[in-house]
Amino acid sequence: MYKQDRDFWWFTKRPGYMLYMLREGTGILMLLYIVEVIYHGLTKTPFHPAELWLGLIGALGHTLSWLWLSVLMPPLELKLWQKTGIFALFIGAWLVLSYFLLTYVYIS
Amino acid sequence: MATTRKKILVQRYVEGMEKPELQEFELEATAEMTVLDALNAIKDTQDGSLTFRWSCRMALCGSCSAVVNGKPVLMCETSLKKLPDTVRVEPLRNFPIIKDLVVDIDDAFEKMRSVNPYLDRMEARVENKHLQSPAQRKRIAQSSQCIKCMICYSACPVYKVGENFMGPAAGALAYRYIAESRNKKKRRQLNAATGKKGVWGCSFVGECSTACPKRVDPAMALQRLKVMGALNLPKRLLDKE
Ligand code: SF4
Ligand code: FES
Repeated sequence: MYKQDRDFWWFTKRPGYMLYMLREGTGILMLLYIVEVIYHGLTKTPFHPAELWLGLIGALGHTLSWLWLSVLMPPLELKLWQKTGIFALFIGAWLVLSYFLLTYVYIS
Repeated sequence: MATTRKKILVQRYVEGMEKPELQEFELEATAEMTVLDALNAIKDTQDGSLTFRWSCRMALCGSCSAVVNGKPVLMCETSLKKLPDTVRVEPLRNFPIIKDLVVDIDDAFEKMRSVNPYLDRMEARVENKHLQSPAQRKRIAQSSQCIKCMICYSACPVYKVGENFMGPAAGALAYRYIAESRNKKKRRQLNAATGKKGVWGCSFVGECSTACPKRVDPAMALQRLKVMGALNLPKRLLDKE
């Protein structure tokens, strides 16, 4: 028997895999942003504009890729998935909102 | 009858070869031909040694799955007409190849068996619990559609690397029995599905549900099992069994 190994470039092979990588990547950006918020909060140091962009790209990218993954990608009759999409929209709206709130609090 | 010329690239492998190779065939395809029809025509007229599984030819038995132009599908429901002039047919990914397009799916079946996918019928019969309302049936309708085609295992990038991950269809199967109103011993399935060799390897890539030809939605079944497993953890820890 011939053992098939996972291709090193597997994540480029299907749109769903690329979206998954985007979701995870932007999720990491968001986590980084939260760490920065805590750091600047504790040390009372100002944000660098690049950090703010990082947080915004993270929050938006993560929300949109979740939404795309659970609503637009799978066949429409998968209603259970659409519930995940609505949940993602809800959490995403909360994330983006809290991003702006946090940023506002620190800038002002 | 109008025909179009198609180039069919089929991945070939027999025991003893160092690695699989693509072989090119040319074919006059009619408008109603599926990929499976094309392979059968090649086998009948060009190369009798070409090996692949099939049976029902109507997307019911789950035997004819393969990767066509990069996407795992049932060959009997994939129309040639909708594909470009060059069609590439490869075996399902993630499984060892036995010959040409035939792969060894024992591991996935073993994982399905491990979730105890059955009811204790004797007990149900004694208590006359076979009855099920339409609403109760509806809860398991979607996850009962699985035809064990293994397309979801081929689509899943985690199954191959995480040896302890049960895989999508086994998750859907476990969910089907846990959501089953006549099942009085759900703990058996729940413990199996949420144990060490259960759902936890899943990172919700979601491609299994996108690829499933029967719209089973194994990804959602796995996420629901994760929640059930987390809620069941205290009980499980206290369980002396
Ligand atoms: S869940 Fe879908 S893709 Fe997976 S084996 Fe069952 S029918 Fe095939
Ligand atoms: S031949 Fe049975 S599903 Fe394709």
